Parts: sequence; C-alpha cells; structure tokens
Amino acid sequence: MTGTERTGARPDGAAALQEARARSRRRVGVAGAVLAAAVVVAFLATISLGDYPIAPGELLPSLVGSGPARVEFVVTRLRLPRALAGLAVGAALGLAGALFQRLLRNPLASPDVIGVGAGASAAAVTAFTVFGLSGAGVSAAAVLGAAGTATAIVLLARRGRAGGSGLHGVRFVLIGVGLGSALLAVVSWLMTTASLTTAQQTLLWLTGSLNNVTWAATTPLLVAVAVLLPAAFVAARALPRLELGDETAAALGLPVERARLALLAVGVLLVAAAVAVAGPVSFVALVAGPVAARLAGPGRSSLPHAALVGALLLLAADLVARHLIGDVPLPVGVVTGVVGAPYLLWLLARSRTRGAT
Amino acid sequence: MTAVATVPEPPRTRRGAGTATTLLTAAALLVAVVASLAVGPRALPPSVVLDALTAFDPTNADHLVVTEVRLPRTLIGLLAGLALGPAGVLAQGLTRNPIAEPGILGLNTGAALAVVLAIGVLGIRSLTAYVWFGFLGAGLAAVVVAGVAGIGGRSASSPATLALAGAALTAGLGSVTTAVLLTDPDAFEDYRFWQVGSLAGRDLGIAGQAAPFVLAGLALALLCGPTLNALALGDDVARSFGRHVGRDRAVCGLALVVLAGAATAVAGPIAFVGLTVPHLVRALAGPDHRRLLPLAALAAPTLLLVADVVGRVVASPREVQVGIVTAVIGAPVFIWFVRRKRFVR
Amino acid sequence: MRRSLVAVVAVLVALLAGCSGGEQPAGAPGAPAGDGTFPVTVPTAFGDVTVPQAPQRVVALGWSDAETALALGVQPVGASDWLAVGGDGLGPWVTQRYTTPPQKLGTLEVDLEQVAALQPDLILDTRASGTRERHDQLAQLGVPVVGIPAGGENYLTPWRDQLRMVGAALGKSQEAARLQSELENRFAQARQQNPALNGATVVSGAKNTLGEYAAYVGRTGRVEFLRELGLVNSPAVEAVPTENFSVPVSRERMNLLDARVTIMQAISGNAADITGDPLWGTVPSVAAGRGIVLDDQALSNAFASSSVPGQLYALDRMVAPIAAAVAKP
Repeated sequence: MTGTERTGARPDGAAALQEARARSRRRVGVAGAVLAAAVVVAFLATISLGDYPIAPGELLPSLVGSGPARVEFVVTRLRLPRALAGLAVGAALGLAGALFQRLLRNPLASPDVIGVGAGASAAAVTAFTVFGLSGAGVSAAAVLGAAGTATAIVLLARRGRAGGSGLHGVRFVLIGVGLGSALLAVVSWLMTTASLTTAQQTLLWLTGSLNNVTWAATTPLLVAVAVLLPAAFVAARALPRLELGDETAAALGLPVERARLALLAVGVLLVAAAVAVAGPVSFVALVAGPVAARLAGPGRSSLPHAALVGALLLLAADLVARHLIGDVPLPVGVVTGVVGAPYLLWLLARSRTRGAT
Repeated sequence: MTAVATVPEPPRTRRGAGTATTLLTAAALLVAVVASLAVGPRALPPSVVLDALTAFDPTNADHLVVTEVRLPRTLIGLLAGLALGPAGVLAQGLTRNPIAEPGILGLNTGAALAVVLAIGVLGIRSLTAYVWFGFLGAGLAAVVVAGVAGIGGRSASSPATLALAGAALTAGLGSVTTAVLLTDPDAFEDYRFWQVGSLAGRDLGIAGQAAPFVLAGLALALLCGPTLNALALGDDVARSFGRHVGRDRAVCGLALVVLAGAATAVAGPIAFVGLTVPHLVRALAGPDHRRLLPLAALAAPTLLLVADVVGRVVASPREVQVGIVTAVIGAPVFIWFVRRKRFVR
Repeated sequence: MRRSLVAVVAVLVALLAGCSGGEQPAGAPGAPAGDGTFPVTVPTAFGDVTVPQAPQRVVALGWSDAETALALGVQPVGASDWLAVGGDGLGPWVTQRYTTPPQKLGTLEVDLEQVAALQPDLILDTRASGTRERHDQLAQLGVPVVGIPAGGENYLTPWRDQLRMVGAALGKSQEAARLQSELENRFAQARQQNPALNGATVVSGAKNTLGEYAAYVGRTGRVEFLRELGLVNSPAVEAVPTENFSVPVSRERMNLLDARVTIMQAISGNAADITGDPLWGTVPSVAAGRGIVLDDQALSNAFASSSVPGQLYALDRMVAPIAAAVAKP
C-alpha cells in the first residue's frame, strides 16, 4: 500500500462500461422517469402546501392570474419563486457534485466538501459582517468567493516545476480541503467579532435557506442554470474518456487539460449560482451523485439523474423544514445536514469495507 | 484504489545531530514560554513578570495579569501542545497517512457538537463543564472516524479519502450543531466563542482537570514509537517480527483519542497543529517514531504559544484566537507540503 | 449626537410638563395630533407609510414591537421573540399580557407566507436590522409596513421613536405620549431623588464565556437607559472606534472598565464568572465597591428590551444599586 500504483488505464474499461450501459439502459430510463415524476410531485407540493390555506381548485386559476388577489400573491410571488429556486438550486448542486465526484474520482469529492462552499461562505460573511452588505451584494460576494477559491485551488494544484499534467485529482482535493479549513477559520473569527444578531444572521446564511426567495433572486438563477445545465452536459461528454486515464484520453484525441478545466468551471459556476441564492446548503451535492448512481445502476447517464435527485432532495427537505418541525420554519440546510450526516457515515463505512478508495 | 500516497521517507539523520535537534527544540520551547509570559496588550517590564512569579502580590494588578491571564494561558498552551503534537504523529503513523490529524479527521467537530448539546439541551453554561463534554465528543468522533475511515484498519486509506472523510464529517456534525444553535441564541452566544479554539479565559482549574489525561496519554504515546516503526513497514512485516498488530494498534489508538480529546477539551478545536508539527519534526529528525514522538511533544507547544502571542498583538485591541492563527499559518504549510509530494494516480 | 440632543430636549420638555402628561414631545416630527383618526401617515427610513384605517390584525416583527403594541392596548396576532424568552414571547417585565397568544414568527428571517396567512392589516418592524432588503420583502405583502426610523439601522431605534411610531400607526398617539411621559417622569423622579447620578460616568458591559469583557457603546439601548438617569457613558469607551454595539476589553487592560460606576452582566448568566475573577477586582471602581454584577436574566433582558415596560422594570431594580454605588467614595 505504500508503493505507487497505476490504476487509471484499464484496457477493458471502455468495453465493460459499454456493456454495462447496454444492460442498464432500461433501468436508467425507468429510474429517470420515476425521479422526474417525484420531482414534479415535490414541486406541486411546494406550491400547494403552506400556512396560507389554498384550496386545490384555487391553485390553477391563481397560477394563470385569475384567482383572489391574496391567493394569487401567495402562489405566484411566494411559493412559485421558492419552488423554482429549490428546483434550480437542487439540480445545480446535484449536477455539480456528480461532476466533481466523477472528475476527481472520489465519491466524497463534492464542491461543498473540497472548499468551494467555504470560499463562497467566507466571501459572503465578510460582505455582511465587515462591509454591512445584504441581498444582492452578498450573493455577488458568494459567487466571487466560490470562483476565486476554485481558481486558487486550480492554480495551487497545478504541478509546479516538475511539469507534466497540470491538474491532479488527489492534490486538488487536498488543497481544497486545506484551503477550506483556513477559510472556515476566518468565518469563525468574523463570527466572534460581530454582534450577536449579525453572527446569528451569519449562521442562518451558512446553513442554507430558501425562506423568502423572491423573483429578484430566482430569475437570474433560472437563467444561469438554463445556460449552465446544457453546458455541463456538453462538457461531460469528455468524462468517459477522461475516466480511462490521461494517457488513453490524450491518445483518443481529447485535449485533457482543457476538458478538465471546462468541467471544473461549469461545476464551480453551478455551485456559485446555487450558493448565491440559497447559501451553502450542505450534502445535496455530496449525496446526489451516489444516490443517482444507485438508482440508475452503474451507467454513465447518471448526470441527469444526479440533477433530478438534487432537485428532489432539496424540495423534499424544504417541505420538511417548513411544515414538520416547530412553529417557525427552519432553513432547509438543517434538514439536508441532519439527513446527510448519517448517510455520509454509511458511505464512509461502506467505502472502507469495499477497500479504500 | 485510484490514488495511493507515498509514505514520506526523509533522509536519516546522523547520530549526534539528534541530541542537538532535541536541545534546540527544547530551547525554542523555553523562548516561547518566556514570550507567552512577557508579551501582551499590557506592557509589562520583564522584572515585573519575574516578581509576579517569585514574589507575588495579590493586590498588584500587574502581578494579577501575569498570574491570572498569562500563566494560565501559557500552561493551557503547553498542555494542548503536548497533546496535539504526539496526537498528530500517532494519527499519521497509525493510518500510514501523511495528512491524518485530529482536526482534519473531524474530531474537533465531534467535540463541538457535544459542547453544543451540553449548552443547548442540558442548559450547561460553564467552561469547566465544556471540558468534559468536549472530551466525550472528541472521543466518540474519534471512535467513529477510526471505524469508518480506516484508522486501525489493515490497509491505509488514501490521503484524499481521509481528508474528505474528515471534512464531510465536519459538515455533517456541523449541521446538527447548527440545528440546535439556530433555535437558541444563548447557546449560540456561548458556542461562537468556544468554537474558535483559544487559550484565553481558561483558568488553572481547567488545566488541572485535563493535565492527568494529557500526561497519561503522553506516557502511552511515548511507548508507541516501536509500534509505529513496525507498522510503517506494513502489517505483515510487523507481524513477522512477532508483534501483536491489533493489540498494539488499539493501545496507540487509545493514546490518540485521549490526547486529541484532552486538547480539544482544554483549548477548543485547534486545527493544523497536529498536522504540521509531525512533518516539521520528521524533516529535522528522520522517520524514527521513537524520536518523533518526544520531539513533537516539544515542538507543538512551541508553535501553539508563538501563534497565541501573535494573536494577542496582531489585531489589538481585539484578540485573534490561537485556533485562527494556526489555521491561517497552517493552511499554507499544508498546501506547500501537498504541492511538494508526488501523488500518483 | 442628534439623538442625545433629542433625548435632552425631550427630557426638558417632560420636566416642564411635570406630571400632567399628554403633551407632545418636541423633536418627534410627524406624529399626528389626534387619536383614532385615520388615515395616518408615519415617516420611516423607507418613506412615509400610510395606514388607511384602524388596524385590527397587527403583526409585530421588530425588537420589542409586540410589547410596545400591548402597552398601547393592541394585541398583535403574530409576534417575533427576539430575546428568546419562550412561551408567548413576553418576559416577566411585561404587565400587559395576551388574551390570545399570537402566532410565533421568526426574528432574523420572517416567513412571508406565515405572515400572509395571518391576514394582517399592519406590520410593525420598527426595530430590526433595517435593511432595504428586509423592508422590500415585507412590503410585497401589500400591507402598510412601519419600518425603522431614519438612523435606526441595526437594532438601534431609540425607545421614544419606537413608541411614537407604533403609537401613530395604531392610532394611539395620545396613549403613546402618555406612556412616554410616564416613563420620563419616572426617570426624572429617579434623577431628582439621586442627584449624584447626574454627570457620573458609567461603563455597562458583559463578559462572555471565553472570559473576554466588552463595554457597550453609547448608541445602544442599555446606555440610553443609563443616560436617562443622568449618567454619562465612559469617555474612554466612547473613544474606541467601533461599528459594533460594544468594544472588546482585554483582561490585561481592565482599566478601560473603570468609571464612577461599572455594571457588568455575565452572558452565561452566572455572576460568579465575574465576581470570581481576581482581575475584576482590580478595576478601580470595583475595588472601591462601585461595581455592580447583574445575575438576573429577566432583569438583563428587560434592560436589553429598550421598551417602556422593560425600562420601568429595570428602573425598579437598578436605580437603588446604581445610586448606592455612586454614593460610595
């Protein structure tokens, strides 16, 4: 175990994957359909359930603008942007997580764990504790923080004098985790210097919440996701070749470095867009990929599934946070975290019994 | 297996150089202790500091600053360092993993969660009681991490998996912690000051509570040198030398849990010290764990006390807690180390 | 500075008015003269807000808005519990209780749908973070939102402004003015009975669990209360630049806590944390017996509430120890 080991190039890898894909095509389709249906149900539940009592018959008229004013307000101005934001944030996080995990070949390497989320948090928290910003200013800071941290990780993870292939998975992960812990230490410190209410506000933001998401935040998010989602699927076409190892991928004519950077960039931007609206909601990015893979089987088409799982998780967790706990609605991040932690431990234990990753 | 680290193999040092290294490290620790007693927001001439220690006058405010502020935090720093340095060596040796460390492994968050539950659910509001809950939480988290991330397992996990396991555990336990804190502003008010990791505000009573654990853990750790040396060669080789690998591992694992728990209990979660110190002393003294353990026990308190002195003066009148300073100093060291290593896919 | 001037003017007016009550205080612009006449217009930091008719369903979101409305005889249907006292959100200092407990609402983050479901016709948010974002969110509901006054950002709305704005919005300006002079008279009485308080310096602070001390700055409600008694916040504390509600005080520099009287509360609620600290004893005022340690959580919260009932409660319990401390040599 202490020596070096090359595991990237597996001569039968492509064939085996194709075979598996053929076998699981049907399962993939069924899983996709079931997931999509579940997302639709969760979405409908989000716009029909709430403290404001709305009869099922009133829902449709209010969506098209012919219901009572108050009902229409609650549905179109409060629930609809929230449900769409939940959908987009969940899909973005789920997809970004799956991209990172496959790119870095580690089921734990989701963007929230490797420091991108920490970078967004540090920037956003600085924006409102030090500069007193709120709303759009904090969102912009979060996007810049995520992008800046990701850039720093990429630059630091590039091989220095030794040359050779620049980005390296293990190094990328380790530098991300290291940078992430330092940034979180800065967040901790800022929280001790702020007043109690500001510190509480910080904690709330750090938890991740969809409460009071308005169209002002949802519209840009939807635009961003509408652009990034197709971009991600285009960039992801390089993944199967990348997974054969750098040498093989290069031999197959893939510009390895560029493909990897493109995937990273799309993943980071997806995370940034999601975090800017909802804060760093934990675990959605981490669990969406593995859950999708289990549902869809070990096929390659799990990326759309990961996006669907992410959306479903976020919408379902938000429903639980709003309706099932206490008088005052909790931020959605509390639920994803409390559900995610045991799942994570199970994932860790399983990866160990199956041999170290 | 997609990624395996090479265990660092620094060149062996010559005999004689070892003694010099030990003496130099001990001297550095002495300097750090003196600095910790002499430097602070209140300018005190060395003679006053000396008087406070030798001819204490309880009505003299200057003397009280030395005995009530600087002496306790120096002792707390010494204790936490004595625990964190060897804990880092143990974690890295037991996992055969160069990035293992109590903080990276998520033990701190375990302690934090226990403290939050103590404040929020049981309504306990005293630093003295947090010691015990911190200890309990770190211990439990250590057991969990040991179980799931492969400490004590037969094969070494990759550095990336270990780091991710810790980071993910931190995020998971952190969410549970947040759930409690969001509904209880008072608990949050206490917690936000506890969670940064600090040597300040702890009195000698807390040092007294934790000292037996640190000393017992340290004694146990110092006995682990031969075990770690054998484990470094792999379990099979170790077994062929006639060692009871499972039992040895359990003993050293116990030492790790006791030390990591005690350090978190006295000073709160302090990251990166347990990570960087073993690498520093390994660069000085070579790979022999019998030398590494005592050297780490000397070097870690030095680092901690220096970081604390820096934190006292750098953002005056506010104090930057030692846990922040070590994270900000430690992260670049960690990244530098990661960049230097060759990781092969 | 402007606010302290306002306070001084108001105090003078109250003194002149004596016990008659009912007078409109000076320096309180925009308050309508009559009671119960609608529509009323209340100026806020986000522009003038018009309340078209007498509100029936009031949602009180700001810090102490609920107890202020209650003191004016209006029971909110929804309320935020900023001090986390639990239950119906009213501390023991509030004499006017609910007959029907209100729907509990969030503090930093208010769920708009919960508010909408209460069918409010008035939203009070006169003491809160005061960001444009928070106001705009609430304003979407299409109900008059009485936000913070100009300069009341970051929970720093003075109690007079809060009382006046809530009173105006509820059509209870006269009642609000009566409450104001009642409290002002109590302050004036306390000053009359304890002339030594006038001009005496004070430090009011807290100690956190890390063992760090902090001293509140002049624009906070706690210091405002002490100023009403004639005390002056320590110039040494005021000289430390800060954006926060308090300035940190290192245990190595406890002299910053020195004043004619030093009032300290333990964040953990455990007074022994402070009294057991030998360095607390080195503060000159404490050494002279002029230190006060607050260990009553209800009193601490009342002190922090900056409401009329909270300050009346604090007056009953704090004037005597403060006067006794100031009287010592």
